Amino acid sequence: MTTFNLLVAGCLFYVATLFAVAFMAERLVAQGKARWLRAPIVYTLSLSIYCTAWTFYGAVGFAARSGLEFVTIYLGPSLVMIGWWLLLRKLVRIGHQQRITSIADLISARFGKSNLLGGVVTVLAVIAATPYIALQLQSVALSFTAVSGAAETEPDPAIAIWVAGGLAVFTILFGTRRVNVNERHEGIVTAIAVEAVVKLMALLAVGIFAVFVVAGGPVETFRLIEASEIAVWEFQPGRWQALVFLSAAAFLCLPRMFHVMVVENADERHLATASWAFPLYLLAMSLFVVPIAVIGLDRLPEGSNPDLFVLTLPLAENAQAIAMLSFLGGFSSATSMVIVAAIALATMISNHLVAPIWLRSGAAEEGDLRRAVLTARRAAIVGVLALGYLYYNLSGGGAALASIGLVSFAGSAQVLPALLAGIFWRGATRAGAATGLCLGFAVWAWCLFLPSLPVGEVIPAHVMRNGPFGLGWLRPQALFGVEGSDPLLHGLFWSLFANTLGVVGVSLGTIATPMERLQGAAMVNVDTVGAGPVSWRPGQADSEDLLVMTQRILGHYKAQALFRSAALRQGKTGYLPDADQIFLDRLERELSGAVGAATAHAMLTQITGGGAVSVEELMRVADETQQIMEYSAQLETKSQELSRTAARLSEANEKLTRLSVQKDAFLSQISHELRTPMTSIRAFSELLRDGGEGMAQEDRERFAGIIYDEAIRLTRLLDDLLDLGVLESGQISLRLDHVRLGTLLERALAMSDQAARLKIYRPGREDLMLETDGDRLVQVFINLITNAAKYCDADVPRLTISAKIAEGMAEIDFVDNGSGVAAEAREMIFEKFARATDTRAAGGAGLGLAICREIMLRLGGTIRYLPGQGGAAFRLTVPLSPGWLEDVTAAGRA
Amino acid sequence: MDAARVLPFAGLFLFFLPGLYGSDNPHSTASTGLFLFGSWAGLIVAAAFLSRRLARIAEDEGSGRKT
Repeated sequence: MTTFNLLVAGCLFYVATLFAVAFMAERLVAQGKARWLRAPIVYTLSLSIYCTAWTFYGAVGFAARSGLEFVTIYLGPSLVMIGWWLLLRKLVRIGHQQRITSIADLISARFGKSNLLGGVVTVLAVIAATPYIALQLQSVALSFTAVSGAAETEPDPAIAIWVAGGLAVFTILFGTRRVNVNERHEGIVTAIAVEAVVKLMALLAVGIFAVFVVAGGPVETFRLIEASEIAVWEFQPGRWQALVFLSAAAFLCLPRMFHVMVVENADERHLATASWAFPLYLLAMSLFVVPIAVIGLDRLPEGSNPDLFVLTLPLAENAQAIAMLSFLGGFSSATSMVIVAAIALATMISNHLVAPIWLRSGAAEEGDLRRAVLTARRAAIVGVLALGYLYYNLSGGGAALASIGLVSFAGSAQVLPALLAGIFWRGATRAGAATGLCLGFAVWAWCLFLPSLPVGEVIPAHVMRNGPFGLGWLRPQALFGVEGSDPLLHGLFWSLFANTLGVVGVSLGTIATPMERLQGAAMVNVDTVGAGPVSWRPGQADSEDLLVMTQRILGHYKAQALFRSAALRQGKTGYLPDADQIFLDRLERELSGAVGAATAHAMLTQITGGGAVSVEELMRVADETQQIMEYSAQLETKSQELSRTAARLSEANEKLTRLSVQKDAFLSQISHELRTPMTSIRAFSELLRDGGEGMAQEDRERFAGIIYDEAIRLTRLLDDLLDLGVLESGQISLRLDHVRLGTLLERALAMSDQAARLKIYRPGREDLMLETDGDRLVQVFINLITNAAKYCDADVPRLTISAKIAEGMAEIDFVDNGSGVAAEAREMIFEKFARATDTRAAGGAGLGLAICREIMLRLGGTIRYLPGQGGAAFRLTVPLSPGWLEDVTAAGRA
Repeated sequence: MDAARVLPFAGLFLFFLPGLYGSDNPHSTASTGLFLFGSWAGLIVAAAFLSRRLARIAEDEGSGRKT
């Protein structure tokens, strides 16, 4: 028999080797020579912490009791790994992107960085893990006792204490050297990988020894299985499926599994290798379980503990070396699980229970958070192990290993509904997740956890039988009167049912906060969305404060390096980058790698003075921006209006200036025009006065005639001026009437009396009815006809007057056959005192066309010079009589 | 990629198959065990085959994201 001392020495040697491996690994990483340490195979092996001492020893016991059912515990994880593309990939990607430190962190981060949820998950995880850690301690203690010769007696509790203490030291040494969990613990991961190899070797060695040495070959073994007491086993489909599901769920949700799978994952592609390599590992681990169980049942004395067959079989066959190896395998299974579980739980406790309280207490203002977190983590490791030991002592180590493992699994699985809803359903809310978790947890505790404790210890026997307060439908193992089903199945079903109902129901009934929505979108759409949600408003945080805080968490060296690189990226020298959004986002990710998303967020919020932007705030900012934009748009409109007004003003000014110039010109013109006749009147009247009697009658008459003519001309000029003045000032009163065009033309021709000099053609339609002031229009006609008579220089002057309807107006053209108006003069002719030619012979004052234009304007028509007609051509447009126009168009259509 | 999505469900079907041929008959540990381990090994081979292709896809995706 192996002596106790030898065993202790073996354990110590083994642990020392682990220390060395972990230490070497960390040194290699520090020197940057450890690429192989991040190989996919190391990742795959680290996943093997799923196989704990429970699976190492307990699987054989499980098989000895219920046949092949033990294999479900491996089938679930195998399916999860094989289906990595569906779920794990997303989980790992989210983990990388959000710098998730634990499963509590994931849930908390997803639901709006909620400290409450993180705390709930942490408490749940600790409670669910405690029995499991107790189990590991128990199995080590049992195996110690078994191997050291005192088989089947009560194990010595001192062993468990020593083991727990040793594990605490190892975990603290390698698990809490740095705060930043996302730095990954290469030392521990490598040690775990080595342990994975050891336990696989050990189990394979025992299996091969049993099959080939003890039983005498595979065929013999097969025959032995057929003949054994577990040759046939009662297949319960419900339980079978539930166990596959449960193990798959636990594989995802166990804090330690989440830690190695997501947090310690260095590269998403490692999953691809692990997807087949890890199921292969599990297959190898379970391959010899049934043979060992069968051979153990066959060879070992009646009543031996089947949970220890892996150890006792080689011992009974006197294979000391294999027994020692097997013992070390079991030991390594227990230690690796406890180490990782302790790290994962300690991270959760320090980030989600201690840090929030510490922050709230205000100690964050001056204390060294880094040290506080490390201390909390170390204390948590000790605490978790102490709890495990306490539970082990309390439960007395009597319960069958496997059943308590499954209860613990079911507890961890309570996170699954919130987890799945969180990463696949954007509508899941914090309230929903919290409700589901609490409901599921409560049902689990009532139906599975409390009953797993020795009867009478926590729940009195009569409560188990009749329900609390005699309420039969609340019996822990027959909720709502569902009796006779397997207690595990019963508890699992009800807890997950209530849990899922809570998550879905409450999520549907509540509204997510803005932060939840941002985080939900970032996680659900992790494949398409590049980075995390935008969450910081720049410009409010003081970089120096940030640096001080970051140094407290990450340490001086790392914090300064981080700030320096950020400053360099912004193109600045020195250590203080601008606290812009990119930098704050990065800082938050770095910090959440150390203290969890919720705490990191809270700390940055503290520094930035609440600068973290909630969506309400974003909306407010957006509102402000909107207002400013509106305001500036208004300003722009106003300034446009102003510039338009200014333009109009300057236009008006120009016009005024022009008018003033025009007025001056007009005055000088008038004086000139008045002066000429006045001069001749004065001259001739002087001649008349001075001529006396000597003047011939003929001359006198001629002079008087000239004086008379000039006076007439003056009068006409003054009349025209008066007329123009009245027209321009708009004081003219029009007498609008319906008149026929032909009539007006007849009148004009008769009055102008130019028939002798001018031949008139009138080919157009003259039946047009006009709505106009007939007298005024005739005045225009007369003007145009006299102009044609005056200026037409053709040998046989001819005037064509033609009218038609165009665009609802009467269009009347006056075209003569003269040489017309010179192009440069056409602009001028409608101005006052403008004459195309300077022929005094014309006898007018040059106001005719100006008056015409004013009249046409008042009448609602136009007068324009019409170029390209061979002679001088004017086009008048005059409004038609509306009633007449309708009649005509109606008639035309008919 | 679709095969990768189907594979776990194929596995689920295979692993639940023993439940389909009746729970009244007690199951033979040896033969059911052989069946389970056989289909398990088959799944592992299929997963190994697929993982190479998937890793390449993931790599392409990853590099596509970086650029």
